[in-house]
This record gives sequence, structure tokens and C-alpha cells, in this order.
Amino acid sequence: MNHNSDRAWFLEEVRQNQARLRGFIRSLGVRAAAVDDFAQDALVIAWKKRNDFDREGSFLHWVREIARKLIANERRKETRRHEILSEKVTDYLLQVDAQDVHPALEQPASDSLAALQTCLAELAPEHRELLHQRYFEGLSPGAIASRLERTSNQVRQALFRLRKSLLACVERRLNLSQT
Amino acid sequence: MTDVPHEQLEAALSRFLDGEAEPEDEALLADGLASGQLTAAEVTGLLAVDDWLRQQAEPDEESFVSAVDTGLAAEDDSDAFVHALQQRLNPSAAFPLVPWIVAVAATLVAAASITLHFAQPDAASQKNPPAAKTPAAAETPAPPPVMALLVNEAGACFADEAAPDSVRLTAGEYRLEAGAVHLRLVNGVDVVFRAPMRFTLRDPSRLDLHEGSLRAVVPESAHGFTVMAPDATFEDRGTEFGVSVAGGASELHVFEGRVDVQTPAMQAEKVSVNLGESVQIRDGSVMPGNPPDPEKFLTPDHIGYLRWLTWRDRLKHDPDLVCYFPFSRDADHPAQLQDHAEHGEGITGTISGARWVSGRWLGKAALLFDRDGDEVAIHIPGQYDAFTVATWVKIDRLDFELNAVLDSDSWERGDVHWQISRRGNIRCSCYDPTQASAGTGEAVPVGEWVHLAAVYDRQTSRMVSYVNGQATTTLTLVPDALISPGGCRLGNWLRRPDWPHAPNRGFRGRMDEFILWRRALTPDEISDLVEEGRPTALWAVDRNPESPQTD
Repeated sequence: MNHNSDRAWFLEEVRQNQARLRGFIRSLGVRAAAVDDFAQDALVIAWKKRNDFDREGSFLHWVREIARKLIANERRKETRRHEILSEKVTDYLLQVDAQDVHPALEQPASDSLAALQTCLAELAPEHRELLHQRYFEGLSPGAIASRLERTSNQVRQALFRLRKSLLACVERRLNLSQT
Repeated sequence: MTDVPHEQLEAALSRFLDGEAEPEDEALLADGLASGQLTAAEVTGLLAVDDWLRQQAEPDEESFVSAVDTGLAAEDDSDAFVHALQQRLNPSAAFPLVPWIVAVAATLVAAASITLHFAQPDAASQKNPPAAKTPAAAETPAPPPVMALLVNEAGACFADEAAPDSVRLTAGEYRLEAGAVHLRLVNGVDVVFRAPMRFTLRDPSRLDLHEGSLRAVVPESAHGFTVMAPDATFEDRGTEFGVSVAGGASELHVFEGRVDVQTPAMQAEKVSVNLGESVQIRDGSVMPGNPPDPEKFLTPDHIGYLRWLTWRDRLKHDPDLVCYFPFSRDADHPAQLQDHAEHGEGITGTISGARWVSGRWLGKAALLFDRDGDEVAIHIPGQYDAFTVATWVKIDRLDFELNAVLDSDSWERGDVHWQISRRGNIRCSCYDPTQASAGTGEAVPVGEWVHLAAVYDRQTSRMVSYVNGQATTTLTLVPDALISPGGCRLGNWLRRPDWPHAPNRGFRGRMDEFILWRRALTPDEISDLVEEGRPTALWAVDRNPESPQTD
């Protein structure tokens, strides 16, 4: 396979799997702002090692393992580690068995996102507005609190409950039994 | 291990999801996980919800893939880049820069931001002198880490003793004496400024501004980036701001997000300045300021435009130009395209239907062709032994079997047709009775600025068409070919009354600049056209061109 077709194959795999790779990295406790950097770093390593990969196998599993090693490696470094991941939580999550993570992480990203959209539509307007301010406008809980004249803790609690109810809703929609 | 109250765990988990967890929160969560009060499924599930919501808010699949693509290219090209730099740069006169460097520098920046992101110099080790080295190590000191790369410039001239090493900036002081510059720090922060400017780069998260004005565009991952002025500290909490220092007094304008300001007189207190606000520092106090002067705070886009303006003024003196339409709108003659070639044929284009819209940069005009009758009529007199045409286009759609860039009004001996097929292949041809004008090569991209050029040369009997500086198709001219375009249309083909069912060939998209020479430009000259006119420093070029194809 020549270089150009290699590149086309690789980028198509990236396109297919990037959402789940990023979700996986976030699920290891990596800070949201650093997720894309880790994902890109892992993919550049994968590109360099592409000749070791059996193309009959799962690209996603392969790059996830590369990302896991990268994060474990990063975890051992002193520089900025606190800014990019949660040391103790990441330590714990790095050694969790695959069957113990949330089953939604094994679902196709498009299914999860479609389920999430339906669940968002079912929320009360004020709850949707809260999520909108947090995620679409990128406001911190503190900034939302001052807008709504509530305390930061109240906003954090409300966001936490919303995330929990969205997770439960997505589980129902995807028929994921959660123990 | 005693159980932690559930509310306390939830509060810690909530702060963790919002990226606001303190070390105690993380310790609590780790204990909760270890004791079974929290399950990995619960934590990873909530992190997944957080990630989905972020993806929902910013569905950026293509930009992510494109960033990965850039990373791969940088990985493949980095050795070639350094080698080419050594070959082409004169170390004693680093500026003006050879513009092609910009593209490759951009890929190197991407690579640097990936590979250096987590390996930034530790602040403590910067402040403290390193321990004595062994003699062997002293002989080959490690090069100082690159803090930033120069990704674009327009007429930039640094003071000899305070200039970057080619396009790389390490920690140290810099003084820009002329022109304008766009830097990208390794953490992804873009800094844009024009002369006069004096600053010291401490590390990728801190720049000391002694004199001059800058605009900083800070990605989320680099929040906390700080500009130190003589009288205040400006710490980014948002995404885009400008700082100006004149005579030791500074001012700040927040274009997006928030910046925290602190002066020595304020001790630990900070003032937050928000989107659209301006402040100035007077006697250690933060006072309301005047609105920003746009001339002082250039955007990355401005640099490309400034560079192109300089190039335009140089190009118009070229004695081989037949005509040069920079597509600058003349308010007195908005329906005409003005020829800027000093020694050309003095051709005027007549605009019908096509509308003036924005071009490659803010402030630069282009013509939009999007209806059947939209066109520019020009008359190109004379016969030519060689002939080169070049233009920038941004195609919206390819509606027809053939879509005209430049078409002679008829299809007779001497006529020239330069078109794009529905599949996006270039079909450049000079009238040939055998009609062998098939187009091949890579498809022209739709929806982005693309440079097109075509070279006709009777001496070599070849016609070569270029897309973004790469030769994509080579055709052989018929032995007695004549090049004599005559009456032509830009963006259309004349609907002749004697051929009522003639196919529509209307171009659908923007055209910005059109140049015609009476000689065959070399491949290097075509590449230079692309470099000088590229819309942005980070504009992608095909780095793995196929070999020219021959019909």
C-alpha cells in the first residue's frame, strides 16, 4: 500500500473512531481541555506504528491502548500533570477492567449522541438552558450562578443531577443494563 | 476506611466533572472508588455524558481530523523542513523570509504543539542555573527549547541582535523594527503584532511586553497565558485580547472572554476585564480605557493581506504582464475590473451580474458568480508563443459538465478554454481540431480557496495546469497551435445566438485576482504565486502531490 492510500485509510479510521477515542480519554479522568491533545498525540504515534497494526483488527481498540499507555506514561511525569489529568482518579481508572467501565463507552458514538439528543429534548426548558450555558456558552458554574443569582454550589448540584438523569436516560434508550 | 458522606462525594465529583476539583476532591474520589462507595461505571458514565455534551456543543469532527492530518504531515515532513531551511535561508539575513517557509512552519508548529505540549520547560529549572555539566556534555550543549515559531510575516525586519533564529524563537528578547508578524507559541497561543515592538519571551505561557501592541488568541488548553507589561500583569481567562505598552504605560482590550489584571499596587487583588471592555493602567490603578485602535491590534488574517499588498505593488511592474486584475473594487467604476499592469495591454474587464463580495482576507474584494448571466468580459489582443494565466477561486458548486474559469467566446483556432469539469478536474485547452482536451489529475477542492494556473508554451508544445502550485495535468499542443484568446469571459462562456442550445458553463463561486503573462512561468514561479497569495499561514497545501499526469 503506498503512502497516499495509507494516509487515506488512516484518516478514514480517525474519522470513524475519533469520538469514541476522545470519550475514552475523558473517561480516564483527563481534563476536558487536554482530551484532544492526547487523542492527537496517540494518533500520531499510531500513524508511526501503522505497519504493526493488523488491519483486520479493531482500530479503536488499538488506538485506545496506545492512548492508555500514553496517559499512564504522562501520569508519571511531574510537569503540568495536575493541569491535564486527575492524578489519583486517573491512577484508579487506568487499572480498571474493561467490563467495569460504563457500557455506554462501548457503544457507537453516533448511537450515544442520538440518544443524548432525545434525552435533552425531554428535559424541562430551564434545565436545557442550564446545560446550554455550561456547554454551549462555555460558562463556568460560578459564572452561571452570578447570571442566575444563585450560589455556585446550587448550580453545581443542579448540573450534577442533570448529568445523572441524562446518563440514566441514555442507558434506557440504549437498553444498557447498569448494575 | 470510613465512608465519606454521600453529599460530599457528589460535590467532589461535580467539581471534578467541571474541571474545578482540588487535590482533596480527587483524593476523596479515589478513596470513594477504592472503598466501593463510587463505582468506576458511575464515574466513567458521568465523564461520558460530559464528553457527549461537549461534542454536541462543538461537533468538530472535521477540524479534529484535519488537525490529525496536519500532525501526520508534520511527522512526515519535519526532517525535510529542517533540511530545506538550512538550504534556503541565509543565516545572516533571516528576513525577509522566503514565504514558502510559512506552510511548513505551520506544520511544524502543529507537531511542536503535540510533542512539546506536555514537555514544557519547568519554570523552576528555567529560573535556576543548571548544575555544572560534564566536559562531554559541555561540548555539545542541548539547543535551547523552541518556544514559538514564526508562522507568517509581512515585510518583517528584526533588529540583528534581537531576531529569531530563522523561524524559531527560543526564550529571549526580540525587537521588530519593521513589518508585521504572526507567532504561534508551542502551547497553541497565537500572537500577532506590528513594528515597533519589543518583547521578551520567558516561556510559552509568559511574554514580557516592553513596547508596542499585540493581539493574543489563546486556545482553551493554554488559559493562564500571561502578558507582563512594565506596570501590570494581564492573565488570560478567556480567548482573545490586546495589550499595548507605550512609554511604560499599558492598556488592555478584551475581544473575547476575560482577562485578569493585576498591578503591583493591588497586591493579591485582581480586576477582571470582560468581553468588549478596555482598561488603562494609570499610577498603578486600573481605569476605564478608550476603545481599541484596530490598526494596533492586527489579526492573523491581516498579516496575509499586508504581505499580498506588498507583493501586488511589486508584481504590477513585471514587463511580461499582459494584464493584472488584483480585483480591487474601484468605487467610481464598480462594474469594471481595472488592469494594474504597468506595461500591459491596458485591458478593462466589464462586469455583468457578478457581485463584489469579500475575498481571501477581510477588506480584500472578490467577485461572486452565482447566476447564469454572471461574467466578466475581457478582450485579450494579440498572438502569443507562450502564455500563463493564474487566479484564486473558491468554488461553491460545480453545476455543469464544464464550468468556465476563462473561456474564449468561440472555439476556433487560437482560442483558449480553461474550465473545470463536474468531477472537479481541470480542463485547460487551446483549440485543437481533434478536441483532445480531456482533463485529468486531482479534483479541485470545493468550498475553499484554491490557486489555479495554466501555462501554454509553443516551444515545448505543452500545456500544464496547476492546482495549488502542483502540476496536475500536462497536455500536448497541436503542432501548429496558435495562442490568440481574443474576446473572452471570466466565469462564463458566451451564449452565442447561433447556438441556442449551447451548454451553460457558468462558474459558481468566488474569484479573487486574475493575472496573465506573455511567457511561460516556471514551476517555481507558480509555487511562489501560491505562497504570496495564500489566504492564511495555515492554509493547507497538498504535501503529497501525485506526479504530473500526461495525456
